[in-house]
Amino acid sequence: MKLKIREALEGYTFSTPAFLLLFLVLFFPFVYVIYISFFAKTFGYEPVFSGLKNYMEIIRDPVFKYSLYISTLYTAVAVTFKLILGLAFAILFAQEFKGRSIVRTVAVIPWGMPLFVVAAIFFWFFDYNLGLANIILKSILGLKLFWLGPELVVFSIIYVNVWKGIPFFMVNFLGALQTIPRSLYEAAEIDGASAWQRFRHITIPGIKYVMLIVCLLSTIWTFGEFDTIFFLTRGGPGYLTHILPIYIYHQAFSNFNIGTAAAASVVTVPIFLSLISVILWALRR
Amino acid sequence: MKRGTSVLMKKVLIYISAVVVFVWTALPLYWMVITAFRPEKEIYEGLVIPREFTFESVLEIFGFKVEHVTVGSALTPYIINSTYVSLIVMGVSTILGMLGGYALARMRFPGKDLLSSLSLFAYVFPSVVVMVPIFFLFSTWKLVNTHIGLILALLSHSLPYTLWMLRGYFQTIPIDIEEAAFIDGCSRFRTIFRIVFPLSTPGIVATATYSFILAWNNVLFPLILISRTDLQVLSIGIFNYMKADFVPWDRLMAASFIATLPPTLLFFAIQRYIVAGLTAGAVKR
Repeated sequence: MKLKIREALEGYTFSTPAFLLLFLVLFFPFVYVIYISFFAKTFGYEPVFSGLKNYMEIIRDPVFKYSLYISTLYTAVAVTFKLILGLAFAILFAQEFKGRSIVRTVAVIPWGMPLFVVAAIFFWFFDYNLGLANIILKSILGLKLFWLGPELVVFSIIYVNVWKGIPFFMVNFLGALQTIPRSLYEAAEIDGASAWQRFRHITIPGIKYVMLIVCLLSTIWTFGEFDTIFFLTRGGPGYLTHILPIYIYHQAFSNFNIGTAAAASVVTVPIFLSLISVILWALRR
Repeated sequence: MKRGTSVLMKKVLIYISAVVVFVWTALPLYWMVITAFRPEKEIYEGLVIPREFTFESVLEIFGFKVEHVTVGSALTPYIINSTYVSLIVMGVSTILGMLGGYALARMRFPGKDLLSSLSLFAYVFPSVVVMVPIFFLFSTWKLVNTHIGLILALLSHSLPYTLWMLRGYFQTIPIDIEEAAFIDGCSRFRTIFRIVFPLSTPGIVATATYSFILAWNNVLFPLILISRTDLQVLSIGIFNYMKADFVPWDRLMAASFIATLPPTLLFFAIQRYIVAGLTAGAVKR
């Protein structure tokens, strides 16, 4: 009994510094954002309780509705492409061919790069007059495109996100693929299973939990991602790339409306919480 | 014969895919590197293959300018600030993460599972949710425009990561070793500091490195917390180039190249551990 108390005390001693700090910089701000979302608040003024007014205000705001829509669309399309291409890349690198390790190293580079650098590179790559994308297009098709203009900007930010995100999927899938016993494939081949059947009934079941976790993590991070889009478009042109994080930023730091910014932050919480709960479940399984 | 052609077909398909993967990933990177190392005038000629090689833009980033005077445009202070802030974040999150991570992995105390889940939640949760309250609270606490404030904010992201990763890593150290030391009369603290931590050096180094990368790559917190140029970090220095009316493409790419090197090289050094970390629970071994 005495030993148990002693061990518990040791446990608290070891974990207190970390969680005290986290309380200060994360858990308390987190509770505070929920609290402040019920107050009318602008910079320099005392907050006044206003009930659900902030929530009503953002629900009536067409820009907020558009933000939810574009965030969901952006996340869904980007994660789908990362899943498909990440799996394709992983299957490619599971084969043996000359130069595999060089190509694989290059393919992993985007994962290690900072998002703000990726944004800077594509800002230049997509430049209308001098960017490589248009130089290539011009020499092949004889035309130039406004990559960050109104028609293509959503496509372009998805392209950037997919380019940066594929290696995370690929490397995790490659690791999972290697845990599938070779003998399963050999047995299936002897039994006359086609390549598609082997993929469908051996590969997919073998990596399905890794797929689940990787997709959920990527969904959360894509939905919450701020850096590349803010650097590339700052939410524009117009409101076209006003994803939710940028909406929150503009409410707080351009419109100085802390209350609605807080309400918009709180709206994202149930989305993230439910996704993370599934991850916890999958990890504990 | 038929089998021979299908094997050949497969080979051809693999090599074509490998070339596609290589070009898809390398093209934007190539565009960054050649722009960073070619003379400024060449940029406006729209040539895909550079004719001249120069370190001019890189030198300019570090404040050495050859022809026209560019005082104030050098990024050296930003680079120093980024390095210094990231190193402190790394130190604090590693030490607190080691203590807390060990408690979560090995010690028995009420609330342990809750704290473990909290650290995963905290790591996965996107920072945009707490962007508004952190700015607001930090202004009341007089932490805006200070490095302490920036470091604390960055810890809200790095510390949950080190906690969760090191917890996982310590769990892989065989418990028999600890029990043997304990039976031999080694005290708990001695066991931890003399046996567990030294045995975990690779995992600790990898986790510390990644927490450095997380801090270096961050955009959101310096953007909202720091407005004084002398305190600003590299990510925002690059953003300032992108915001300019006439973007200095050569310097933007040279700065991007410099900003990419540390995190990318470090990432490749520790990649093995990072990949094993998050999805470890989902891979059957």
